[in-house]
Amino acid sequence: MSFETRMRGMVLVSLVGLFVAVYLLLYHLGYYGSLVCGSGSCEVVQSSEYARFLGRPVPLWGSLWYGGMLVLAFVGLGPAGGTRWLTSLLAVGATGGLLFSAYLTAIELLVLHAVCTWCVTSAILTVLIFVLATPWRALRPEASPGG
Amino acid sequence: MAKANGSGKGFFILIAIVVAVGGYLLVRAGGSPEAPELAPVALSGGDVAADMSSGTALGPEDAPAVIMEFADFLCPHCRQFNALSGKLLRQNYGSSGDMRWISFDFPLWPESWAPAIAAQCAKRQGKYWEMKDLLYARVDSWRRESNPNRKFVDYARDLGMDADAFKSCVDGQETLAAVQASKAYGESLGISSTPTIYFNGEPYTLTGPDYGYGGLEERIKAAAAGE
Repeated sequence: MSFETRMRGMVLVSLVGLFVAVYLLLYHLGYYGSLVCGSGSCEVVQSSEYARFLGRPVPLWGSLWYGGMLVLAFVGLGPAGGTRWLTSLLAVGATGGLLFSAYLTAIELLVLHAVCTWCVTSAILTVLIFVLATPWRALRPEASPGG
Repeated sequence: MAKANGSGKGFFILIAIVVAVGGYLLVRAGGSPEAPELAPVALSGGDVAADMSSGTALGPEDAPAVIMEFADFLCPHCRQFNALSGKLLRQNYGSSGDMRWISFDFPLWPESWAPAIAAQCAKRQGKYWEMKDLLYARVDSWRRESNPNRKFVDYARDLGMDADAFKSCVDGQETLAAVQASKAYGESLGISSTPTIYFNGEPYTLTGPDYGYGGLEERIKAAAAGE
């Protein structure tokens, strides 16, 4: 898969993730009274103490992360595509997001014993972004823009 | 070149579709701002005496920290307070012996009486706090109902309650007097807005993004330490 294709994929996935995060954030801010959750336990998860990180709603951090990855992906479609600094930023961002998402998922399963459908969706999107960012390439002596 | 331009155009079309669909869904999730037509319920007033015992308490009577909460189930800030502060404090300190939480239903709007009556009906089956949390969490699913009691009965079933007894209670407004007494007590204190919180008899101002959790927790700990 070419670098350009991966960046385009990341734009789309980050955009979807951003909407999911903003939806959850607006719920936290009181704009929505309840969440559309299907068979999950969204409200149990979203109203738990673990729904806040450093004093702020987790969806706020999610929105910032998806927004950041979206920006980086757009930058990657431009002249800076494939540069060392961009590849490194993508690697750090994608890895950090994946680790935090894994932490939140573990909390849901092991502590809260409740699963929020939107959190699962976001976790899947985070994994996709991680795969598209191919952070392992940043470990190579010279990052290649090729697929 | 043409193929590259074509794929570029297709990419931007995809972006536009995602933005349009996502934006539409976000707006749709906000719902209608119109007030619903609800089953008529009696309002406060009349000969109901202000009664502090009309509150619903959690924790021992001799707890060093006593928190009184006056709230309305349709009040957005009450919902946030419950989700971010009240519920967590009750979870963390409700059985510690250090805190007594007394919840007073204080309906401000005509549509707020039905959920308050439902919460008191749940109290009869020992599920007041669970029903309180559900009513806040699912407010958007019942506030538009012409007769929200049907939703409340579903919630009672979800909580493992005797749904028939609960239905009889809410449809018959059997706990109306309890809600009226709770409201009257708040009015006797001069309360006119929600959420209103008292800590050991003194008004407590909720501040910060945690809706007062940190501050209240500090006071609970200080009271427990005898400060």
